[in-house]
Amino acid sequence: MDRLASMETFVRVVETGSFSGAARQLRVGQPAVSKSVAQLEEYLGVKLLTRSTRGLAPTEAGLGYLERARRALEEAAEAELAARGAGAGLKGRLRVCAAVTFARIHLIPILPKFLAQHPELELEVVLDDRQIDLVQEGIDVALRMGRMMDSALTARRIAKCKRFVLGTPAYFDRAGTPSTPSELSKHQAIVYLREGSVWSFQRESTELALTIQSRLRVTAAEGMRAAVLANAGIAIASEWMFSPELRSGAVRAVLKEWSLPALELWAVFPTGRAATTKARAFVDFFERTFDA
Amino acid sequence: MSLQAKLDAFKADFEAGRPPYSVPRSVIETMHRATAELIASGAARQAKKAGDLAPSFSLKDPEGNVINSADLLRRGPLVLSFYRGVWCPYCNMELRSLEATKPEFDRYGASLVAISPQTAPNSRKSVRQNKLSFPILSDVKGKVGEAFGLRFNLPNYLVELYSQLKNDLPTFNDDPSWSLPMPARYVIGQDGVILYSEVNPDYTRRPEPEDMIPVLQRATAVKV
Repeated sequence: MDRLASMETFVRVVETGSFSGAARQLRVGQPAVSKSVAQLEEYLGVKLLTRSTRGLAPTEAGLGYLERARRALEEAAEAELAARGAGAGLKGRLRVCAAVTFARIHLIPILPKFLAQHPELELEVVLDDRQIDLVQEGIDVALRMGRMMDSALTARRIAKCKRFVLGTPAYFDRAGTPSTPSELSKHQAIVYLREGSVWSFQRESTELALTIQSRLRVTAAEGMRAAVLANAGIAIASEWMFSPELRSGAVRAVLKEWSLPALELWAVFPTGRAATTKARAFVDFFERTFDA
Repeated sequence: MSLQAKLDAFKADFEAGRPPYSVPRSVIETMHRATAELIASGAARQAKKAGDLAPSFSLKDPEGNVINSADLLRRGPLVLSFYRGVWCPYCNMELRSLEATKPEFDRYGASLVAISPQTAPNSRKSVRQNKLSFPILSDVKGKVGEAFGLRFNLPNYLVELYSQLKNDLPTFNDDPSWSLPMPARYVIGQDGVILYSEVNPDYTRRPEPEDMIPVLQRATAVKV
């Protein structure tokens, strides 16, 4: 029995709550997973898992073992890396998750450089605007935008970016350029469903908010971008979402003397697990290379 | 000239210690400190804002008539201005500016009312001095201001200063609590939902009355 492999299998079973979930992440069959756990239990002479109506849960002995197994796996990874030397590069598979539009503009273009630095590394980039369950999906690190609400997550703030009301010159030619937030009442807005139709602004100490009209509401940033570029209306968006167009003038920000709550970018690691060496290296690389 | 330009000009004279107020520098500094602390407290962000359901109210005008927000909203959208009192020159300038824009509000069938915690005789004085045609409602003990999240207690050093300046808020407001609302402007749609909100923890800043017009245009175009 490969003790490290068994530990890894056991940890994945607990994290996903099922043999099948662990099997998916480890890319093996489900019987191999249950066999591995059974062998481990036999070797230790103690039950690690119990079946309940809500799935598999660790026993008390299992919980204690889980924590130490995680540390052992992390230590083993560190040891391997140290043995190979700092320049040896990362190895194996790294699963990263990010929002679709953000990744398309800011992440994917810099990945070839990262892959070139680590010839034995494989990257899987899961693109999803929603906040998916990192543990269930076997994600090593996610790049997430917004404020971190879930304190159970291990997270690190990477960058901060301004948000603006913006639109295309063609739209402003047609509908007029708003000179005060209240004039936004006359405009058609493209609303990102997650954010809703109340827009809040701040200037010095003044707090202003208004509800805006919108006949077009979308669930993904990619849709917002396309709608704005099709001259469908104004939108609130981060600089990140329109970096190329803001530079070229294809999209223009208005009401710049008013500020909107800033957007934060976070690197988020799965709950209850120490960040893997690979995930940390990836975040360090991204932070160094990211050009907002 | 915009309302804010007038307020800025007044503020420049006031803070330079020019007559008729001839205020010493130390007083200005105390006022600045109180404003900075109110801003830093983040209270303005906690107030009711666009998208929220506006708290309903039933308050008396200076003649003792009860004015009900539900009645006003049945007639059309509502422009609501919270202000501090007749003793505040910035508030009086704002009221006059609202009066000048009122014919525009009328075009959209909108009601305009101002709310302050001061007593009826002080509101009568506000109406008379500023030649107002819209009602000023007395918010007894600042209850409605509280419901909108605008009410705050003055810090002790400001209470001391106001007492020295004979700015006796407990008498003006018939309320021993030394509290005031942050100045704020709301446009409320006929369904009772706030369409526009602006809260000014710095009382020397006020929204332009004209800024309400695009919001009213929209409120009346989309009938509920």
